Amino acid sequence: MYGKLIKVFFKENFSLKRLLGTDPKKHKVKTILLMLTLLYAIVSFLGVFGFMFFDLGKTLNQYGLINVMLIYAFIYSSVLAVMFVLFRANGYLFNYKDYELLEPLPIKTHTVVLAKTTVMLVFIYLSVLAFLAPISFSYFYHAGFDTVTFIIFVVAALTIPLIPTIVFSFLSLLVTRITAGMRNTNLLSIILLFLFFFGIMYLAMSVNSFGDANPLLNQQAFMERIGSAYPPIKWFVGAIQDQNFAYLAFLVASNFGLFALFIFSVQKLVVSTNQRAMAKITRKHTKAAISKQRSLMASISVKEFKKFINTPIYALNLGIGPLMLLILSVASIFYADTINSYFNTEFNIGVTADILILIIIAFCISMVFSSAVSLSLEGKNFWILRSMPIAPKTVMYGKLLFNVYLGLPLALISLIIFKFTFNIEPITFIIMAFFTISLSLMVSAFGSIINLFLPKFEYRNPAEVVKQSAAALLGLFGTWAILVIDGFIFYFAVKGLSKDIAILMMSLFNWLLFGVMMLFIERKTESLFIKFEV
Amino acid sequence: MLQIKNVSKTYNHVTKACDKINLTIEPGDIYGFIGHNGAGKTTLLKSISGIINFEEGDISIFGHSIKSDPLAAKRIIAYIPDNPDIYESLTGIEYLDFVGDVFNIEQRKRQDLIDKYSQMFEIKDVLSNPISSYSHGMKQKLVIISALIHEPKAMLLDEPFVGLDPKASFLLKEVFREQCAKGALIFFSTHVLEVAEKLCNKVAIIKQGKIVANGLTEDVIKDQSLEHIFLEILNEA
Repeated sequence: MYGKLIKVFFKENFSLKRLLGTDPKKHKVKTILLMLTLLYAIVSFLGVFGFMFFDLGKTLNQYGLINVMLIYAFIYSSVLAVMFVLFRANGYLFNYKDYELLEPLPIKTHTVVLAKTTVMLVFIYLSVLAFLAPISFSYFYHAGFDTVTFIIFVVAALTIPLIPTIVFSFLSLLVTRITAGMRNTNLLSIILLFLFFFGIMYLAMSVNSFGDANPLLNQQAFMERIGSAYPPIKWFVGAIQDQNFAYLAFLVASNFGLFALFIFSVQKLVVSTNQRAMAKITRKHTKAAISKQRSLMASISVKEFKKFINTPIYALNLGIGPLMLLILSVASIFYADTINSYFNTEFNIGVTADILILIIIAFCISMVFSSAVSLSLEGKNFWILRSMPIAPKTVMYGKLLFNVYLGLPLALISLIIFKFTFNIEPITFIIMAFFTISLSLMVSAFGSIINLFLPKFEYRNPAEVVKQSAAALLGLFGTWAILVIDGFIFYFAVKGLSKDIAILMMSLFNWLLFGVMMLFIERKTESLFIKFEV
Repeated sequence: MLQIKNVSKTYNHVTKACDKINLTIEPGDIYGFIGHNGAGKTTLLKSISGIINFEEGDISIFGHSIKSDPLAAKRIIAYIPDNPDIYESLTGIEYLDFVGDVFNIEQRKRQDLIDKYSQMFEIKDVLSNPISSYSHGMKQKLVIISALIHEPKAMLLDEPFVGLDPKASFLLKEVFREQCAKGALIFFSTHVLEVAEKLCNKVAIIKQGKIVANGLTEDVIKDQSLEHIFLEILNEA
């Protein structure tokens, strides 16, 4: 029965149609374009992280610390598993949409739980692979390749996500249960998850503060601390580094043993939580609901905002950039001296504070791509907009504007804080603000165009749109490609002109792109809208 | 008046969902639309409301073509789908406000109509709750209210009685009559032939994308029942 369930679940979750959001047999050209988009996203990702980890491996190897790469592999894989489980365990295990379909069938609960968990684990392994591939390449390139070590590495790596999956499935369930009876359930979930995420970041930063001038030694000490606190890391590194089969046996036995225990112990919880989720409780209010009149654009924005704060995966993925920016800017007030001294050490990469700030702002704004996914997120509700007297371009402008609201205000507030922390010249500050505005508008318009071409209306979980759709990938990686062009403009302009003029030229390029994109949205949205098959 | 002239719609260049359909629905008509599963009922209703495109023909709603002047046409119609998939992140009142803002309904009038219909359909005291907490029937009622608050001249409904309790079904029929008395037209699909027979002054039967019978209900059914006529048509080769 497990095999049959897995077959159905895999077909449901991993079909090309599901991945691309379109039927490859019916839309061949679109499928090719989508495949190229995915390929571009994968190559960009592996290129960026591949280079980063290869360079890190090279440096670590010079210091005789190549094994720190293994700890990196372990921690990155664990954190990815944690993030995946926190967002998705609820949908896969505790509140799955086909519960009403599966429960009446004569299938043992632990078979269903095992099959559901297997699908979740496959997703986790695929995500983990994206980071493990460049890290392991760097490790084996610098440490030397050996077949036995590689096999040990693969087996050991398979165990990494298991304990995080167990622990954080329960944590995810706990968050769901705590917030279940409350009025703003989703908002509370988002706040708790943000607190958790920033808690990890804070912990990492505080553990890392050894006051050593050499950041590499800091990294090593940090990794060693974590290794001694969590034995599987020690076993993982020991098994690969020394081909220690006893450590490998510990790792496999403990992880898979705990996982088997988890499958059998969690059954009742899965059933009861799914049953709870089915019950719909509507509170009756004695006070009459009062309506509020707004302008059409304000009304669309309110609708978008409510969708945002009621969809945890959406809020977390797209809200993290601006929030991180704000936290960094506030933190810079307290660590200004330390950061300034960093610019004078041998480890700075030859950029000034204002340029580094612009890079950070650009990176954080690129992470706000709601306009690339919000049309897709209309999903089954899309009939509402299509049957109403709203011009398609107005819908797109509303979504574009919401993306600007999401990223720009916090980016500008952060920029103001940075200005005072790092004493940025007023004229430079104005030009930087001009750049930030141009970037936010351009990124928002770019996202809108992507979503017009790559909508994915059929999905069961918003994560499929926010994290796994071609539009989301292109929204992020496409923006990075434009940022690279911005970088080239700056690089060549700054050779003959002042830094301020170079930033201004980047801004003008962004404004130009924004103008062209707006023209496109104005003219083409209607014809694209009517072609959507929903 | 709703005029459907020679409308054809094909899916994937193969499946003809609507085949040269011609229908005229006058103000004051309660027009029932009957057909087997996959006959093309939903496709035609979605085409009229501008949700999907169609290759041939034209649809005009009180003089406004849904193809060439979609916004003007949509301002006077209300579409209610067979499945009330609405924004679950909003509360009931927020959804009604969204619809009110789109149709630019003045505040006081909006509040009066919301009060009237939410009281009638008995969901007034849950309007401040998120739609995600609503049952299927409550969502269906909310969609009906959202259609009524902008006082449409043409109401297009896909299986409107599915999911409604008997009282709500009765009230909806009353609303149909009330709207028609005001000069609106109602065009709805249904599988409940008894409802169509008793409620509609006109009916149309669609089979494999083609209208095979239409006109005044008494003319279509003659001295038989609608069920009998429908099954007879269905069994014809």
